Amino acid sequence: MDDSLFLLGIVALTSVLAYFAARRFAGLQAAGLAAASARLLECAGLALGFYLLDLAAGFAAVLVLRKLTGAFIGLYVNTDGTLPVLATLQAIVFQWWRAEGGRGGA
Amino acid sequence: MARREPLRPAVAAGVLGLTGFLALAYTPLTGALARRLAPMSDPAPADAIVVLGAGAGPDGQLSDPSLRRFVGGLLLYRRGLAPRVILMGPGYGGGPVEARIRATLAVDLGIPAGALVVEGRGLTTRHEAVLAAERMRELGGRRVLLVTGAPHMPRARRLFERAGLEVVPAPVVEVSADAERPDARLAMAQVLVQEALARWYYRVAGYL
Repeated sequence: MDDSLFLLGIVALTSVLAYFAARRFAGLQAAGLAAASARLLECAGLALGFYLLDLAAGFAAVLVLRKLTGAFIGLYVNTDGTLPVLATLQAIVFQWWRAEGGRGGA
Repeated sequence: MARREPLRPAVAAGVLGLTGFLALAYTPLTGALARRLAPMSDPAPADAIVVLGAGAGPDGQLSDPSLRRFVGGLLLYRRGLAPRVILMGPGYGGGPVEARIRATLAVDLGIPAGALVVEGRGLTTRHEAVLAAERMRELGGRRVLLVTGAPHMPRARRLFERAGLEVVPAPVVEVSADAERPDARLAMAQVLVQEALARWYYRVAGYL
């Protein structure tokens, strides 16, 4: 069986189970799912934006550091696989901050 | 908690990003792109085989792409396609020099030391091209079998030609274009994006 179909099938199955469990045991309304999906898309978009920003900043920083220090730093450092994860964390914090209304204090 | 509507530009970017992610990881799109952007080709006889660097760890272990390029270069030598192998790859921050690690391995595998040229100074592909051209002037001949990863080959080829060498491409598979696992497809997509950025940078800088 194709790996992609298998994985997508598993995720679809657990999503359906979670949907029914959430409605039955947590009393969530189906209508809220559309809003939640929009929040997910917003988060994904913010993560993409932060990733591109991090990539551009990293690229510029490497070129500046090369000039200033004379030491060689590979541009490939910016394409490390953990950078998208860090960008997603930035996106989540920004999204929650915005949801809180940008308020300070406890 | 104050309710705010989702940011429309972010939602649009999210649709774009998630669609791209799903297409690259869960469909054969990445493989098709790799076959188009990183074509394979058959090697032919040359004056030397040049194996480009791809990194080694501080413990002296070659990275996976480095090992694949190294093996690809040795196989070409074993097939009698060139009398010499120029092994490249620097050491970073005082660490072990990739070209020397490769040379030691090559001798251990039965390649005559006299057939090996160790060039561990090249920090970038452009630098490697200049150094390889210098070495070829010393050795005589200008036709080289260039061994590097398939996505890297078009940029490396242009740089080596600009350095005055005649290039016979001998790309090696570093990430299979036929991979079916989503994480392997994403790894290939990462390599393609990385190479696209490098090509863009080299063009802007006037190196290509």
